[in-house]
Amino acid sequence: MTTIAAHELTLGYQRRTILDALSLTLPEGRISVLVGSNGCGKSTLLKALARLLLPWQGNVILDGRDIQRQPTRAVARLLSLLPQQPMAPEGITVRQLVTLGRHPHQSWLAQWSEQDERKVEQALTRTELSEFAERRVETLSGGQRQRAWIAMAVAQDTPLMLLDEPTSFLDLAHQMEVLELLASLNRESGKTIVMVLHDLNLACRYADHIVALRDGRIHAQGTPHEVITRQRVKEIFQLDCQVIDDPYFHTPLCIPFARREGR
Amino acid sequence: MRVRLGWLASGLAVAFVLSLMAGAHWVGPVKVWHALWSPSATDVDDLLIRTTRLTRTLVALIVGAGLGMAGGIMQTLTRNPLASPGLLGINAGALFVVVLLVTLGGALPVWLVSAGAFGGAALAAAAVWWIAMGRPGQAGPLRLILAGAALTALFHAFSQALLVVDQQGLDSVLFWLAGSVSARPLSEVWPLMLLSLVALLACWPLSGQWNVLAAGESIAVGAGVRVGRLQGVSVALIVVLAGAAVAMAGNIAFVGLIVPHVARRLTGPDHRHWLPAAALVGATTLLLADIAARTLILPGEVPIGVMTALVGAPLFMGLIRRQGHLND
Amino acid sequence: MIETGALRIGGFSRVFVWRPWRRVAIASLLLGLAIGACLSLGKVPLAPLELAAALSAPGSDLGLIVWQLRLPRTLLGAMAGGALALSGWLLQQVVRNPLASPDTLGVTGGASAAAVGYLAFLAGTFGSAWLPLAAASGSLTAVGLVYALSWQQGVTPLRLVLMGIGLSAMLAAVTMFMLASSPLSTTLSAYVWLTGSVYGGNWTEVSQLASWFVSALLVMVPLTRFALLAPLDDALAVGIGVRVQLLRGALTLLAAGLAGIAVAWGGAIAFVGLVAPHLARRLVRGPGAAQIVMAGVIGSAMVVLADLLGRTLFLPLDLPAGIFVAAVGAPFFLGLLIRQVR
Repeated sequence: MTTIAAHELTLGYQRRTILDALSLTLPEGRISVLVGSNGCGKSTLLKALARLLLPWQGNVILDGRDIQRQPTRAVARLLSLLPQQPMAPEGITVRQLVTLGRHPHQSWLAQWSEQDERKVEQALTRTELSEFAERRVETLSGGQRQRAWIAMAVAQDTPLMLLDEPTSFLDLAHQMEVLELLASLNRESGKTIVMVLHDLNLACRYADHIVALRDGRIHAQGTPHEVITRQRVKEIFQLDCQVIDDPYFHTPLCIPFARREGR
Repeated sequence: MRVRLGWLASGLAVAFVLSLMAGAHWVGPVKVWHALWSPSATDVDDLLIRTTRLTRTLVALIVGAGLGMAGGIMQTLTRNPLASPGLLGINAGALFVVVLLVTLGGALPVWLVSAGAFGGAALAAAAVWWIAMGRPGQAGPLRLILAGAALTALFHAFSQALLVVDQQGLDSVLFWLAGSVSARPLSEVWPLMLLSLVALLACWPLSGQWNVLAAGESIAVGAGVRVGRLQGVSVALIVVLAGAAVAMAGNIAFVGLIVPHVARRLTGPDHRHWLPAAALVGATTLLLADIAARTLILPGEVPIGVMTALVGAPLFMGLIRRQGHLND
Repeated sequence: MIETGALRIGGFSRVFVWRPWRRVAIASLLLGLAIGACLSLGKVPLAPLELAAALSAPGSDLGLIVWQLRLPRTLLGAMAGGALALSGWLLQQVVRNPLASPDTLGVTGGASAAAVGYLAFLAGTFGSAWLPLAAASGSLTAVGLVYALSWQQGVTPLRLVLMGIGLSAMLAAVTMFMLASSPLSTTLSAYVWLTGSVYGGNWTEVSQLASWFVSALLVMVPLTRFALLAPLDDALAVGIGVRVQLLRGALTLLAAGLAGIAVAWGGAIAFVGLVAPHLARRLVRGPGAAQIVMAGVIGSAMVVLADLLGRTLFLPLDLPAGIFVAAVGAPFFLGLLIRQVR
């Protein structure tokens, strides 16, 4: 299996520090969700975990070794990434897009092995996109497009998937669709999934492990029941709420009130 | 702000006098004063100042002010800090029509060639307008600039082709291509000067509306600005200013791009101060460029368009390096 | 519906999509016809049979015309056009915008400044034999500068384009200054060069250009797989294990090299690098090897046909090919801009 962890991670943009000596180990084979208010550094953390950003200090450890010191192709065989609002090259079909995910497994000699073909087909079936395979990506609806991106990550066939707000800009039905897909990938293939989500209640329902960030540090982590409490939500979001038990799923359900005066 | 504008105006006055003094033959300020107010018919210096130097000084002043103003308006209109008559192909369009007329028609009346410059500027402006406004949300800085660059390449390719076909025309057209404020007598350019002045003054009452437009089209509509009409008038002003500039002085690059940025540094984003400052800075810049152009490599002269590009391009590149947000 | 096949021999595997290659084959056939037309048309028009006879007898009068005048010139045009088109295709991938072209990155500007400088100051002493070298080194220097100036913890496509435009403008000013201050005869020959002409091409030039062109192609083949990934988001590309900055640098350099050699031997032919890749993209949907070959074929055909028009349409005048490329390319380009808006 593949483990990923951050060790004393410090980094930011220009001169502004975003993450401050942050250490974190993410549980293997589980769904972890990063939550926090805007600008708390959760996207930055995800990008650092995906080696998109070079830490100022500290490091990201993938399978016991510094991720920045491993060849990027080797990393890409262990870890796939779905950025926020990715842009598809013009004119590319769904199948071509999904095939791109096979890139780290290919070489100049072997550019379309039987395994490549099989994995691409599997990814298309898995995401229920087989009938759209020859459609151009820009002609898909928002939910289908998001599934196409996930299919690309699935074809990449990595034990670890990182996703930055995979449900943003989707309506509720499509949000559920994407999250169900990710949950089944976790259940059936044992993939470790790390994602940023904005919706606390959906996060509680799908996460095994929640990491709450505040001001570039980890404020709390653990199961949804441990992290999402009235007191904690107040600290993380500066927001008054009532946390009740979800009557169907028995995960915490957060009912927000107006933002407190004067923060 | 008024104080700053005052300083800029005095700077312009100094550059104006300097421009009358400078050249292969330097003339003192007192002599300049006499030449302007009580000239003697026989004095060579007086004659020199009142004819060639005064003409090129006035041309540089008006052209510089026009280009600075046109650049500022374009940057507001496209909401793109890199928009300018040069980069978006408007100068090239005007130039192309001029070359076309000169190579096809030979010795044409001045008014016709000037009208041609306006026509070319309008043509290019229409093309850029279409590209920029087609999908406002997606136009993006890169698309607009690439379209402008390609449009420029297009007009230049045509101009070059014409010049290769008609080699006699080349010599008479070269000054348009390189830019020059001294190629034509005052008697030929004064109508163009007048036109530019009118256009410059016409910008004044629009500043308030531009301020609102700069906040975004939908906001401007919400604030009761008639956006379509304002945009139309603005484009017309740009065409007049840039077309007249090319008709008077040929191809002068980068003034329309850099000057508004300098002016904005000095006055802030309020169009009521920013645009007049852009005009003043533009005029001063072109006067100084012209002084440098005619004194640097005596007895020869650097074409002024070359001069502004040599100074303006590095400034442009510096500007881009400082824009941290150009990281896609 | 889609005819794909996979070729797998041991560790070697490729996917083939056959359909686009049919169009490529047709285009290549048309290119062949165009080259044939180039060889048979001119001051002395030849019927197909006469052409065959002339080709088989290089020593005869007609043979000399075909072998020593028309063939080298045609080959020069074909290679220059192909190289420009490939360069344009690569740059449009790197910049992720179909409006990019070798001109935007300063290739043409650098080559023009160097070539005009050479014609103005050095041609008198050294003759024109070194002109291609001057032009090629000019273009490479310019692109190198653009790249270096754009580098701030990596290069972004936008900065690359803007720096290219800035440097091009500056180089154009230098070129203009040299043109304006040199004697009219120099200016005239410089203008012919600037417009782009393969006039007077000979076998020495053909062999020089061919060796460079083939070397560039050899570099391009292994890079193709990565070139197809260049339009991806940086984040996505890193995600699938692409070294984005290394790739961007390599592709830019290759594109500069291709355009540089084309401009060196064919002059500053505009629009091929812009229009040919775009046409190829229209004819062959979806990025892939077929599209690249298509771009090259179209580029070659454009220059070859433009040169044919240039030397036959206004006999006895021999006009630079660049004029006709611009005459066809410019309206097409306008159409492209308008379509992009829609």
